[in-house]
Amino acid sequence: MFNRLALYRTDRGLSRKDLADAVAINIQTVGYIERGDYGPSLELALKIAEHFGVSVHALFSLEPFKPLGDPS
Amino acid sequence: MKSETTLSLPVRRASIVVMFCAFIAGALLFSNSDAVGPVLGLGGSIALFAASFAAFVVLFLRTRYWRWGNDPDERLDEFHLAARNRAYLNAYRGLASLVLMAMLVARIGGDLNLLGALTGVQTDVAFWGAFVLILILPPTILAWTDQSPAD
Repeated sequence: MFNRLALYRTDRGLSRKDLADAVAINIQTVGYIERGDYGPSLELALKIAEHFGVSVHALFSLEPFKPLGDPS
Repeated sequence: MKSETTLSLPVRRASIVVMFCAFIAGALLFSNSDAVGPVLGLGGSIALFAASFAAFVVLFLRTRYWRWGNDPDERLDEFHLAARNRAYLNAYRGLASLVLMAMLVARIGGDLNLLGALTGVQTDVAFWGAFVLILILPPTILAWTDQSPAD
């Protein structure tokens, strides 16, 4: 599973600890998710998406994300 | 998990190797102290048990692995819970394999008269070795396998 968690997190000026505290997970788990080493449960993915105010599809995908600004 | 020390993967794995090897060597020396003499048998086994305990302290004191392996489920998030469940499964498989091997050795060795009866000391060593192994195996597997980026 691919994700843009690090992109959204840094864009919002959040540290891993900020995000971990916000969704009640361990800071290391944020790292594992960002590196793609762990696919979160649907519940956790929804919590993270809700925290950023975006849909789950904006954050997580089964296909690699296209670069931002790519018109295709 | 606050104020915890992080150890690199090589340090953790080296600690685990020292912890088990020193314990096994100490147990063998202690259980055969009649053959090697009381000074080497007792003194050597105490030194090896101390080395094993020191490795245990390095590995688990102020690192997250002991708590990760033993905390109640409610205190872990889903990633850590899943990793611990895998560690418990692997610990079960490892222990079951050891028990099976011990039973086979005892059975075959007994049939072929290759094994003598265990002494009281050897029985104690085997019992406490198994007791300690059951307690420490899951957190040890977590410490061996954890690839946390923080480390």
